[in-house]
Amino acid sequence: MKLRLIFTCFVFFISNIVFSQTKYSLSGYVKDTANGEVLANCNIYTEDKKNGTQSNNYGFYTISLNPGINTIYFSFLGYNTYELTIDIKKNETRNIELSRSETEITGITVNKKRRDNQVDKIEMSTNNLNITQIKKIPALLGEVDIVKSVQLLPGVSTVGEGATGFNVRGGAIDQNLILLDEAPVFNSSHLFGFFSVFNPDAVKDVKLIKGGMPAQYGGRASSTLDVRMKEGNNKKFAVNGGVGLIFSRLSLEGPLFKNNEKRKNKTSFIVAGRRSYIDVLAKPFLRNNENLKDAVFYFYDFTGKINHTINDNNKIFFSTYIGRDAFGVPGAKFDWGNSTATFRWNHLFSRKLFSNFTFYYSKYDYQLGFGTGNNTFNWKSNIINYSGKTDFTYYHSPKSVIQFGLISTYYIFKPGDAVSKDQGSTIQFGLPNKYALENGFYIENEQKFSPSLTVRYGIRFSNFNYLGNGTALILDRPNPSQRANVIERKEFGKNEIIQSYNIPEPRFSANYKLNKLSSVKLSYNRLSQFLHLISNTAASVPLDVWTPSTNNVKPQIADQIAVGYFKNIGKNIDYELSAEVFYKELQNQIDYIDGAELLLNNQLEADLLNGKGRAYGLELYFKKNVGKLTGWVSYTLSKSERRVEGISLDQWYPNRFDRRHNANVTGSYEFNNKWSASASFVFGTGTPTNLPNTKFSFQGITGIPHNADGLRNSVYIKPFHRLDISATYVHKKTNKWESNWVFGVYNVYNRRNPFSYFSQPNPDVNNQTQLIRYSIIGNFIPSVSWNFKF
Amino acid sequence: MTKNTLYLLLTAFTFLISACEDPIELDLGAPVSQVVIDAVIDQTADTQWIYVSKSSAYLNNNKANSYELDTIGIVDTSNFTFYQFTSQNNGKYFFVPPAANTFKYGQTYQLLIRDKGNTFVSQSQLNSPTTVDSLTVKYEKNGPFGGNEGNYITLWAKDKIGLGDFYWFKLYRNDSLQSRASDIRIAVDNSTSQGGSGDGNLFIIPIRQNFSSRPYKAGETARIEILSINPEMYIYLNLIQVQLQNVGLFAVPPTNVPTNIICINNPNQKVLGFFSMVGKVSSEEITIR
Repeated sequence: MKLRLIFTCFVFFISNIVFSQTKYSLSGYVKDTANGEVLANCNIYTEDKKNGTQSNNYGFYTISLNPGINTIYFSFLGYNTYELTIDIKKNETRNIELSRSETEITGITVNKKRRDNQVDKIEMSTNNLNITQIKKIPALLGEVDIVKSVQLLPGVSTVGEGATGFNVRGGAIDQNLILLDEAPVFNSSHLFGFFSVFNPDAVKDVKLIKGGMPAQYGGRASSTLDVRMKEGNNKKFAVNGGVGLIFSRLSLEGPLFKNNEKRKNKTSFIVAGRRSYIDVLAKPFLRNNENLKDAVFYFYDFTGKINHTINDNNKIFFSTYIGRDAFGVPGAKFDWGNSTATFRWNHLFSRKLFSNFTFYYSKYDYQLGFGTGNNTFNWKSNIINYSGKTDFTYYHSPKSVIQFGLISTYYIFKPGDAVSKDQGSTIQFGLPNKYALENGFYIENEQKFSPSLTVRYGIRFSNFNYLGNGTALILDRPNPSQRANVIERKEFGKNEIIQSYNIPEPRFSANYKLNKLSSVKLSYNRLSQFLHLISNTAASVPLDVWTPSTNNVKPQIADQIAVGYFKNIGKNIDYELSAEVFYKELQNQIDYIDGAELLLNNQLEADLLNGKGRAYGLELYFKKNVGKLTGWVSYTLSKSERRVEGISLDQWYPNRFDRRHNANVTGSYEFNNKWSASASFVFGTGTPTNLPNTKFSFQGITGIPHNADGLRNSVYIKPFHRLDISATYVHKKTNKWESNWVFGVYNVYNRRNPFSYFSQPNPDVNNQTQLIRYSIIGNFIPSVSWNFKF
Repeated sequence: MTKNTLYLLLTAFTFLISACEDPIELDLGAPVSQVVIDAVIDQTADTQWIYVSKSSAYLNNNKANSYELDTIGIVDTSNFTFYQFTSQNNGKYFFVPPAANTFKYGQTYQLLIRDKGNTFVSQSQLNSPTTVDSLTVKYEKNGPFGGNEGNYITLWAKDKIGLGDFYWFKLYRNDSLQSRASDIRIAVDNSTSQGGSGDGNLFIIPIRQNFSSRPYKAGETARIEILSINPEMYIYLNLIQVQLQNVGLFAVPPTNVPTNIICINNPNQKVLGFFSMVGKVSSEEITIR
């Protein structure tokens, strides 16, 4: 099976080589004229539209042209289209700079030929958001939030406001690969789930891929959220900043060696930081509160990036992110955060072969401590990974682009290292570290079979090794719903393979253009996942532990098929419309026995169950791109279920994040140069939850809940809806200085949206029980923030 | 541990945005009421009790109905002696042991119930108790985890030698059992997780400290019983505690607390509750000054 696939791919490549004719290539980088930032996914096409390509993630493009005079258009949403007329006699290099549409420069731009790409592009189930769009969306407490913006897209939902992460097409939150400049981020939230860890001042754009996953991405079963950082303005020094109710932000960017003619425009940097300051503001008010006067409460993040162009063929980047949340009250402290570092080298072997080499380090850790002096309890946990990868893009012919690459990642898991000091004597509770090595190889070809049919096919091989030092537990589970017995422990030495998995993952996408303005797309992909977030709370907590696949914990595998219809409306593509249906099957979904101990448990695997999942749905998306009013409407109808032996009478039951209907409307309107306003409305039917329907007493303990039906997630919470609005006032705008005020109201009509229901003994009346509706946000939240740049 | 973590998370969280909790009424259907057996028997000469009741609808806050079985008692599996419990006709069954240690350490006992043609059984081994040294009182300006200022009890006692000893600490205030979820305190060896290195040592902090969810006042009396339980009972109590405190943003899916009592003639006949033999030791009662 595998061999045949490889052979088929090979034949395709060969056939292309044989039939290619002599052409010359035009290549270079596409950039923003204002700040030199590269533009990824820019559409580049010839006048007859028969030949076209896109710039890659690094802004690099190459297009094969017939000798003679050619007119090429460079088109990117929100920018003026650039028209280049060139007499091609040999291979040429042109770096193209596009200007933003609002700063129109006559002479070199042609707005009328603006062309959008959703119909032409092979990709489906994919949403791109640039930071300008994200900044328009009203945000909680005025804090621009990338993850919250993603939640407004079709197919994306969350278990409730304030919950960490997001769910894509019925997948769990750990099934999203969140990349910041190619390094994975393991926890995307500050303050549990209220704010995302990405500083909007340092982010350039965001791409969410829900299906038709390109072979270069792997390692998670549901989606990829690819967050790209700005490179830093290489034209002039710029400062961005803002003061909000939660954070203050400041970012600096600019060129280095500006005064050196030789090195000019070659190096630029950006550094951006945010810190919350509620602790500083609250301090005077807490002076008299015994419990809280010494409280610690803050979160911050720092993002930095530097890039240097060595020459036309070589470019290097270094980027880093450090974020941390810290909370503490006397006798207790808790902090967590991510840190990443990425080094990249873009190298052009030839005009046709672009390569990228990346090395990254990523870490998520937390620590928790109780007690003072001689009597303390401290607990640390982390996940660290070191990775190296190469990605190649071979622009084989105007009809074929081949991508291939290798990745290797070494993981260290520290599931929990606990130390208790009791009257000075120390007790260790630590769990041993776990180690793993993940390798991936992929190859993929995007082939234009005809002007209307484009197909992308490829395969990714994923290999995962659970390594020593370590102990493999051999389990026996006589009763599927209960804790397994450990019947044997096998010890493994350093770097010995305890368990190995090899999974071939076919990837396929096809785009058939019905006409100039509409297309039908189809995709199939298999994704595998070897890292699992062990969590059984409705909302994930920072304490949740990542664990590798082992001899007992099998890799999660998702197979997804999606079909979509894409249509552009209006002569300037004023509107975009898409409709997609998807069906997904998941294997080896992790669930938990009743009463599972997930933390500091050296036999954790005995508490994990293994089941299957399925999700299916319909997604509709309508977007208005131009004019004073811009925005989108999205609607998702979906169902997400799982079936695990030992749970819910072995029947299919809905996932905790199952939401049948989900609708979002977001829009912004520009009144004039001074004022603009935005609004977003979200509606979702409730998620299911478990509730007891009876109770009993034991040994004087009353109100012990019991569900006599034994079904999981059988009660649906009431629907959720919320309106947020904001208005932006541009206070001052000159060439040198710009500042604006953003006024917002979150949850305008003051609705207490249910996050969950739970049962509890009535705290005020002995021996009575009650049901509680729990709302994360119980009122409307006004906000004001001030932003500046110069 | 869970309690501490939860407290910290909640403090941090409510600091910024106050979440809302509103009591609601919800139609939870018409659930089946089940028989509940509450049988915890110790080795002392005290009168031993078994309580039998029916589970009630979750939002029904009336007193639970009692239930009368045909017969109930325990069997010594070494010699098949049957110790029948006598009904008081209110769901309460009692047995007066002729002497302490009528039920012997290391011995396995079987609960035997006959009711309407069905036979229910369960087994439990009686583990020997540990010893207790004393109780002391500490005045805390800040009570544990946001509690009030006042007197809190510290227990001075050691784990038995040997790994795999499980304990339940029952706290009494003026001879009345403190039975809120936050009063449930259990231990494995001298700590909260298996495989700790403190075998045979004093129960660690926080286990030995800050007994009671609310402080003691002067004049009140305090006493702690330490029950040597088996691992199943430990899991049972732990689950009960988790279920009763499973609230808020980080609640886990509520689960049923599984019984250890089964019907041997018809597996579909289900009861709730638990049977456990326990080795009991009690501290001296102290009076708070």
